[in-house]
Amino acid sequence: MIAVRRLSLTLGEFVLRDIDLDVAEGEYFVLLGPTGAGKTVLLECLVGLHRPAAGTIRLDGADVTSAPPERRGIAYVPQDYCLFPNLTARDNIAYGLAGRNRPRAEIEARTGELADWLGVRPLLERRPLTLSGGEKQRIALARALAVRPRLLLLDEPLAAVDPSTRDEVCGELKKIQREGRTTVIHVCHNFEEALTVADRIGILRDGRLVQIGSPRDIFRRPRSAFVARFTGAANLLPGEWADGSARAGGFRFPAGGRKPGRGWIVFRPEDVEVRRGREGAEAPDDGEAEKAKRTGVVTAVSDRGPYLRIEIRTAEGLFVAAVSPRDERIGGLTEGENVEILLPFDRAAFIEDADDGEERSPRRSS
Amino acid sequence: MSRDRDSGRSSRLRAVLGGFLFFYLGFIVLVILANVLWLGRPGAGGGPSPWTFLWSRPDLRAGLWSSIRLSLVASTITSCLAIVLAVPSAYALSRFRFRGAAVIDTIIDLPIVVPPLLAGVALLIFFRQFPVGRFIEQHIVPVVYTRTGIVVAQFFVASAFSIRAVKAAFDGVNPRFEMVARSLGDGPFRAFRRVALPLARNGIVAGFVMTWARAMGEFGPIMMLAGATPGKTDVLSVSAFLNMSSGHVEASIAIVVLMIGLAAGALIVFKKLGGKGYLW
Amino acid sequence: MSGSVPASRPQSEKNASRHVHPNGFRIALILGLALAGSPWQAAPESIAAPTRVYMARDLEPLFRAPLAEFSRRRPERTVEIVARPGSAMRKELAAGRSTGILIASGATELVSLDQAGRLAPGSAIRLADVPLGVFVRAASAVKNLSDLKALAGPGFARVGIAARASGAIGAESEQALHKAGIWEAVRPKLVVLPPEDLIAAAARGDVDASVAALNQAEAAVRAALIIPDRLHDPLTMTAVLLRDTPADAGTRAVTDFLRSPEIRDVLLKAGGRLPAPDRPAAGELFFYCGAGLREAADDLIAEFGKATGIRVRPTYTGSGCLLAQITISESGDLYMPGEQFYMDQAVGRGFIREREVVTYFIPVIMVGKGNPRHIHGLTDLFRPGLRLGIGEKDSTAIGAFTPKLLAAEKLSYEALLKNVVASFATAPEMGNAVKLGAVDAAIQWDAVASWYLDGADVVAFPTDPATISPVPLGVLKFSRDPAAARSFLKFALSPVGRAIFEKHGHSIDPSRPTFRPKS
Repeated sequence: MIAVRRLSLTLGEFVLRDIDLDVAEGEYFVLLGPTGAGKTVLLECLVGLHRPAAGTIRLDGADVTSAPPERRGIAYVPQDYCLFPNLTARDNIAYGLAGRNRPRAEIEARTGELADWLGVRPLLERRPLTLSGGEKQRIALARALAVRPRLLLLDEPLAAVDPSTRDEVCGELKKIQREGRTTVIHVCHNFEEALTVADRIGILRDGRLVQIGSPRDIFRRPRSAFVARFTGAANLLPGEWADGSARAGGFRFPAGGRKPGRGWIVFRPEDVEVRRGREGAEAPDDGEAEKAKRTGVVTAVSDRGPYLRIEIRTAEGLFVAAVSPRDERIGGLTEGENVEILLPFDRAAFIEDADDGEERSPRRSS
Repeated sequence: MSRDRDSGRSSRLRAVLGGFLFFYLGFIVLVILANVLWLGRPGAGGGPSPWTFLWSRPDLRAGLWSSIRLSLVASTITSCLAIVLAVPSAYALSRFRFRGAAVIDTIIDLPIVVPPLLAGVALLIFFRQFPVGRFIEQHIVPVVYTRTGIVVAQFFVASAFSIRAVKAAFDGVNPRFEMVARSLGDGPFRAFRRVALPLARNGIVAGFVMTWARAMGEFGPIMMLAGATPGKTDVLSVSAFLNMSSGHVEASIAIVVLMIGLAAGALIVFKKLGGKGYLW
Repeated sequence: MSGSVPASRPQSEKNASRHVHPNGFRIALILGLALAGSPWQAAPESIAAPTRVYMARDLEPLFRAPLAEFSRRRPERTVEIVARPGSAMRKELAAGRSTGILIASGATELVSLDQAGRLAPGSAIRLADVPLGVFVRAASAVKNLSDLKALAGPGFARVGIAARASGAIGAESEQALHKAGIWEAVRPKLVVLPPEDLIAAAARGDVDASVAALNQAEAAVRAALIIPDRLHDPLTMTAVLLRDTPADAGTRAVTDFLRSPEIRDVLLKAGGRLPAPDRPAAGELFFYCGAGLREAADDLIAEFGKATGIRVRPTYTGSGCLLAQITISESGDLYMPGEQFYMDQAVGRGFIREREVVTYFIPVIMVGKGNPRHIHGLTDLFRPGLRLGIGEKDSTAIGAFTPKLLAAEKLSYEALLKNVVASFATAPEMGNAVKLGAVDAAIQWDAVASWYLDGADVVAFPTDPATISPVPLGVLKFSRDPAAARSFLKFALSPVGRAIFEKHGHSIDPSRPTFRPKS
């Protein structure tokens, strides 16, 4: 569908470097990255707002690198939606079709159809100023979809949406993709949001696509400490592995048939088990057990609703665990208590990464 | 001002700010009032008031009508030309980044800085002593000491106001609006016409109004370039000057009061017309 | 000599019907004969012989000098002026077989000679239309009149008038008095004189005023009133060939001369109105005029237009600005600054082809209505506690002039400055300040002061040539029609022009200022 090759661009402080990206027909692709990574610039490059310094963009095989936006058939919903404030919601939706001088009946039919589909019919005569964030977004989506674009670009579509309706909107977006058979590229900085909607995710960091893969792939097999941390894998232990066994800090555990290397061994917080522990420190378990055990002191507990986030200081450093609040073993856990944590080796991810610029400390989560 | 429900502190602030505003307003209104009253006072020796006197003189009245017409027509032509020029120029200045933009920006402001009378001298030199100006004068349209000269003089000193205001308006229109329009299929011109132009409308109206107002009040450059010929190039401001310099203070004050009234009326109309249906 | 007959020009016919009705109707008939063919053109060259030019005696002063000049310039052509009293000349020409050119004023002579068959058909050339005026002695205390009815008032005990039978002047004078409704009132005062004696009698003081044609004016008299057209038909001055006059080179040269700009200017300066210029449609004249002279200039332009058909377009600004405009634009025809200083600059820059002083500014003291501070002369201005206004020294003519004035009167400018509370950028602003009471007194031009008499009084003091400021009018070298521009200059100097200046409070004669000092 869309194929980007070695795309580079410098725009003020934003830089895109050698972006290679393929999105298939009907796919929901999420571009994920922290603020300032260049997500919006990349999106605007695809729309045609910026001309890349190098590289090509192909749409269905045709080179559109230097085609003007109106020849690309790529619809665009900017972060602030950019609804035309001087037009009613109806005229906003009809904008593209009116510009193409379509018959009035067709325009009305299409507008009505989209309004019903997205549930905005009652809003049609209102002006954008009077609409809420979610309402604006739907109008903006309808406006983009009205012209039946080949590709729909969404820039932070949930940023201005009330958190309580976030899931609903995500569902809406998926519906648009599936029922409308639309190819979507969606930009966001929130991994959970990406997980909810994405067929595939691309992670952008400092103008580079550092990893592309399915949500599970990214989730389970981060290829860099950055991706690991960005996707919420808080526990990174510097280590090395060779001959089927790995060492990280005081731990030693099996590493399967991995090639020898060094880098990071990563445990996601939800994989870390926590138990009430006994007084005093325990000697490092250097046996090749299923799980590594450590004792430590709870330094912070925060209730995140579906889970409890617990920070534990150990001799190896700080660990973060996400546990169910219904877990009876830790009921009523408070700061200062001694606990025992268990790291399941089979859930560990290995990042071969001699030096990716991350500081070598497990404590980088927040 | 009426919308915010404010505590005691912000209402004190309101009083202070309002005080400044009313001081200024009061000053202007009192000056106008003083002039109106002065015109209406009984004449020397129980004669008619200056106002009645002026109104009873058909020759002065006829001259006044022709001045009013001339002023309105010239200022309106000037403002239309200025806007026609300002919209594309200001759009270019606002949207395109190019080398020397700062220099261009400065050049645009220069006519505002030059003292008006000398702006007229400058124009006269251009049209009579410079080959380009001479060519225009001889082969395209005579400017010096003609009614065309009125518009040229007004245009020279006042059109910068249009460019300024329109540029500010375009600066205030997020370019993303146009990008969205283009992603929906509009070419650059169509996106400009359908999006940037209507969104900048308030600024364009403001530019037109400012240019118009400045053109109405303009006097020095008109006198130098178009001459101060009664019945031909005596716009209201020039007519006020001519009356002043032949001792008819009453007539010139009457013209000033009239100009204020006319301008107020016209500005209200322009703003109403221009801003209509544009609530956002 | 193609197109030499003005009657064939529709424009001049229009003029004729406007200015010379009903006599004009008769003249138009005579002029109309020209369509039949022009004897000026038809005749072959013949040997030079003296060309006689007949005219009534009252016209002689006007034409003597120019015709003498013509003879001086063309020694091969002899011109002989034959001037007789009107009735005597009519008789002589009607009876005899004299040939030559007749210059007639009014229709009387033309009609009678035409009836006698003594005029060459179609040979008439209209030279000018001259209105009548009321003349008084130049030094007379009589102010200019606003209405002919003033003649019925007590100021005039003896009024000179030409006899009805003596010619057009008498007939038109009588008509004017009738139309003004004062014939019965004035009749007992009338002193009937031969037309050529009207002016001399007024100059001598034999009569208090004379009604005469403007062209008769001399330095010893002035026109206190130009009789408006609605009361009379201005006299049409016509040149016509007597029957059987050989159309030789001499005759032709004289008639050409009569139609030349030189004679036109003479006639214009004599108060005449010219028929539409006999040349390709002239553009308008552009006139740079000091803003303070506007009122007079507006009238001057209007009357000049009526008199010549030439349009003048003025621009009014400060004299210095005007000079800048002339310098830069290198165009325009006439320049009348408020002060000699600017004219000198224009002359220095080589812009001026020709110039004359047309009026004067005389300094006076403007005081509040009723003279509340009892100011009676320049020395009173030094009294402590007075609030004075003066013109700004560098930018206004009156301001620049004030130190000169004081120096001439041996007074100290610096001492005066102690009382000065304001200096003004324009003379009208200063007049306004006195009127509004912002200052107690100001040194001001007489003409400007005269605009504010509704709210201020004027104290005049004796002046001499060092303490008056002449106002010059110049023809610019850039003029594309210098002859027309020159005509305007001459017109400004004519009785009509001078009356206009006086009407607007300007002194045209320093010895007879607008405001007289109390002796």
